[in-house]
Amino acid sequence: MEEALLSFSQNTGIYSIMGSRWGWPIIESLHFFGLCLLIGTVGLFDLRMLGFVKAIPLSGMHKLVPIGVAGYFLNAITGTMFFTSAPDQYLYNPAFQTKLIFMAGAGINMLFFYSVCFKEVKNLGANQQVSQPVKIIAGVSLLCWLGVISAGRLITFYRPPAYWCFWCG
Amino acid sequence: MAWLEAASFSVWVRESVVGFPLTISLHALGMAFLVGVHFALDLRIIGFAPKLPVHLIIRFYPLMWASFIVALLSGLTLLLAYPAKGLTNYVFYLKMLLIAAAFIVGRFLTQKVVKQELEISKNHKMLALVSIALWVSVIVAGRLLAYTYTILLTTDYY
Repeated sequence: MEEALLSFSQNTGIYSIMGSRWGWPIIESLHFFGLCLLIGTVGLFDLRMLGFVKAIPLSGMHKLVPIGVAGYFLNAITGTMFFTSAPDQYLYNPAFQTKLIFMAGAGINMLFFYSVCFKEVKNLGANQQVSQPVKIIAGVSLLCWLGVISAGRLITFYRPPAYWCFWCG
Repeated sequence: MAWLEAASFSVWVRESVVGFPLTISLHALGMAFLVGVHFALDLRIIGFAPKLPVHLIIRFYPLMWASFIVALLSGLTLLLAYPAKGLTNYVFYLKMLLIAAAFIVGRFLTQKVVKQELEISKNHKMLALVSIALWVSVIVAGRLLAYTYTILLTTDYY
């Protein structure tokens, strides 16, 4: 697993970018940029669904979400660059594993939102509120993304080999 | 700076299990909403989501200011933990200047486009791009702080 990831990084040239003098911090900066795009669009959309700034029409605000999706893809790419360039620092890292769980949670939640709830939400205008179940979906989304950010930031500190978690062994 | 490094709070942030990780997570979360709300206004001015009323975006400003306080306090905590690391690095002062510049541009745009309700012009759109560029520069400078310092601690016997 580690070797496959590492050879992917080496064969695609990612490894030499990440190993260059400023490679790692520049890619990290892009990762933070993507995170801010995601929170500034999807995060604020979630807050609006939760009841913040009810005067904002959800239908108009949703047009910001594609920017958040772009931020997400930027982070999927830059994240893959970190992960495949030092897989041993991530695969066994409890902070990274926790981050993946939050990402999976955010992903499943998003699929559920767009397949089940979106038809209720997409036409809502100013001062119109989403139903209680949709509020829960919005809250789960926000919590998952905050979890992704926090766990992501912890990756540096809980590097293996570790005694940091009950499943680390 | 040696006495600061030796202060019990400073030592706690550096050496406890939760001190540094907690502080740095809060710094990232504060950044996310501080920069995120600014991005939302900038993107709207640039022309995304035209049916999102621009004057309503600033209703997220209390959240933005709260996030700024979180980022500021966690940033101060990081500085107290490693005072020499930041204060002896010119990138740190550059980051502070960039933050000030980003706030000034944000405030100017808010005044013109929201408070005075001026029609969004090409210049406003350019400034919104400048705003995004400034916040990205703040992020880059912040990230570089972890890579460009020359002194971590002035004393090494703790």
